[in-house]
Amino acid sequence: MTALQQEIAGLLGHLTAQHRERIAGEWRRLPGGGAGAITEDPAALAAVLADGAALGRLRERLGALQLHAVAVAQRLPEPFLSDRLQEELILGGLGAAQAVALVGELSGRWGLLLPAQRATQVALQQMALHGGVALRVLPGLGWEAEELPVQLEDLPEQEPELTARTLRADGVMLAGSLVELLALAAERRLGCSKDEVLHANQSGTVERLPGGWLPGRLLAEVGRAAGLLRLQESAGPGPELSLLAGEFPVLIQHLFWSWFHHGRFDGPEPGQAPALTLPRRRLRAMVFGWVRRLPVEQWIGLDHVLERLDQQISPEATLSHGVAHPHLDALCMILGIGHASGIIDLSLPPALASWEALQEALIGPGGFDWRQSRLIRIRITDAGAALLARQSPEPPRALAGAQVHPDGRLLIPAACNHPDMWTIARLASPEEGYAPVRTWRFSLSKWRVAQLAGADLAQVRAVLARASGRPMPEELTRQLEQWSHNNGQVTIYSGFHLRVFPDPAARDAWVAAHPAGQALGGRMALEPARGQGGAGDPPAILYGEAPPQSLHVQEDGTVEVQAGRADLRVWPLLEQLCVRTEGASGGAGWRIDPARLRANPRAIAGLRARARSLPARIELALSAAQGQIAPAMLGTAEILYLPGAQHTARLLALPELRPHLIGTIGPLLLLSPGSAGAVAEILRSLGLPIHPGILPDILLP
Amino acid sequence: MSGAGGSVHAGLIVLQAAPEALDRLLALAEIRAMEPIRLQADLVAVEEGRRAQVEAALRQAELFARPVVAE
Repeated sequence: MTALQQEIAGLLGHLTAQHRERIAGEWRRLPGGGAGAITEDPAALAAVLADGAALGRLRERLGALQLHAVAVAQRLPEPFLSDRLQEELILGGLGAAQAVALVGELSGRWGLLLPAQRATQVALQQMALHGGVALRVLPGLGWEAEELPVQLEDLPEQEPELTARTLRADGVMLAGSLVELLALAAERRLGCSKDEVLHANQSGTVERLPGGWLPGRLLAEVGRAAGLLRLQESAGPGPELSLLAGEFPVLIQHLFWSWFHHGRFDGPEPGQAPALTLPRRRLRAMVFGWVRRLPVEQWIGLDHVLERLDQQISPEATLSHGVAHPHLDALCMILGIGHASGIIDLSLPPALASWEALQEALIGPGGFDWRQSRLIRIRITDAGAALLARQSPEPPRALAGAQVHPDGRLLIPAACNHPDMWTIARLASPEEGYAPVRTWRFSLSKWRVAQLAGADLAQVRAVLARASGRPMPEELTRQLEQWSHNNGQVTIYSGFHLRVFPDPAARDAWVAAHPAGQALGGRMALEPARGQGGAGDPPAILYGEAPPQSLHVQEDGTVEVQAGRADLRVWPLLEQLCVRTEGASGGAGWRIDPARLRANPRAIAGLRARARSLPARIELALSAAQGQIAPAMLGTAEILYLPGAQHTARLLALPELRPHLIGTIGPLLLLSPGSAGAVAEILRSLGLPIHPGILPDILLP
Repeated sequence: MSGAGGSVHAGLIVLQAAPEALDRLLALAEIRAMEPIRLQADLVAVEEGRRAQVEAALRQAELFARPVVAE
């Protein structure tokens, strides 16, 4: 027996007689295969198949059967399932993502987390060994256990094409193959030619297909109705198709295949929206199955609905605002399915009087108005409540033992299903991979979404304290606070006095002594303007009154701040108009800077209002910067011309020159009238020769 | 000047937000015209009578207002 025969024989050995009979039947239907000897003995059958011309095709079938075998194995006790599942995964050569999806199925349905994790490890090893992952979408992963295994006859005739689709490693179908799937669906459900649809879609033609469909619109409607696609505006001839974000790969596949095999797609009549119809039993299974099967982290944003469905509590619940956009489509599906199946009643505002209008409002091009959602009321019907009562969810396992790290990592047992996980899943994302203790990480995007949904820091603190038995680390608190600010929220405090302290310690001391006070960070605090205020200090500045004249401006542009009533605007003014210098006492000082004057002319009025007096040349400079000086001015000045720039700089650095200096124009220094003698003395002390005279015109700027 | 109780300023509304949010707000001409006082990176003060204009500017800058009024 060859190695291939041994492999096939081993594979067949895991199958039931019923499966082997199906293989034999399949073999008989294969082109050229019917002539071979057929036996139900695995080894003999393998020997025949190993030489068969259509072996590849049959192996495809065997792959499908392999999954069926796994489904059968679900019914077996856990130890057996554990070993069996690993074997199946290895022998079946399943891709990792398919295996993970399968594992998700099993773990969600049966709660067999440990074997599921082991199987996932095997699947990941497979992925590592084989590099890329080629997956097959198998309709056989049906919805309910009692319906498995799926009959081979249920597989569409185009099965090799259909199942050879490439999926991404995370299980999300690529757009190209999805279009083919949709085209196939259109062919089967709507009577269009798949090839025709594909060709029309690729070529961008807009000819109507049989049934009056435009190809792009058809694909979009089919996908949208199936919850697979969201429409995007496109510059091209038709709407672009894009997959839903990858949060719901398992859900999407199930939904699609469930619809594909059991549903009905009613194309739009004129003036009507397309409708996706599924049998009532299927709908119920989806609503309840989604809650239990999918990992909790896939339900972020839907908890407002699902908590109530799952916990069987409120007979009437308001869907509050804050569902993340990427989840709206899925929410629509849940609401729609629940509504259509009689599990919930939706009370809609007049503007959303029909389900179609609501769906359009939620996922239509106009976006979603969060305020609208407050108007949507969900009531679980009596029939829905009766259904829920028959469900028996697993009792929640405590969330004790979680670890919260200052860097935002949460270590939580993977099997935890405590209701607090809803909150955690809204705030943090699980890291890749599976482990008995899983690492979650807070993320800014989730925190933003959670905030929109009404989460606040106190709630997070309470949940994490319950989970870990310890207060939330200060670093994490600060991070979340910072993220809260990043959320674009601006807190407006009004009716307070602002207190500014010399340093943060003084502020802390004051806040400690005044419970009504509120620290703002840094040197700032607030106290209510009425009621329990501080020590009764009169406000230093009542804005709207004239500011105190606290600035002393000198001839050379130096600005000193005089002690007196505190004026919050002084320091921003100085920052805008001055540069920092070293003050006379060694501390920081300020000097008016011409460039800043020109850059911030609006601030000059504030400087004028606060200056006790302004020297003439400063007044001149301020007016010039404000554009208040006429184009031509007439006045008297002594003019000093220094041909060398080094002399100019040297002279300007002299403090004794400043009282005489009005300004400079290029190489010319304008001096106060009558100052020529004093300046000449200064020049002589510097050893500079003096040549009295009239400046030639050429030197004038 | 600031004593142990700090200097007290009245007639202001104080805006607190992330520095980048305040940068966005202060970039608006309507806000600059109010001559806001950047108290620190995350704090800005404007005169109390400007409340309505501030809220309009917040909407323009796509920022969310969370009013806190002293009781």
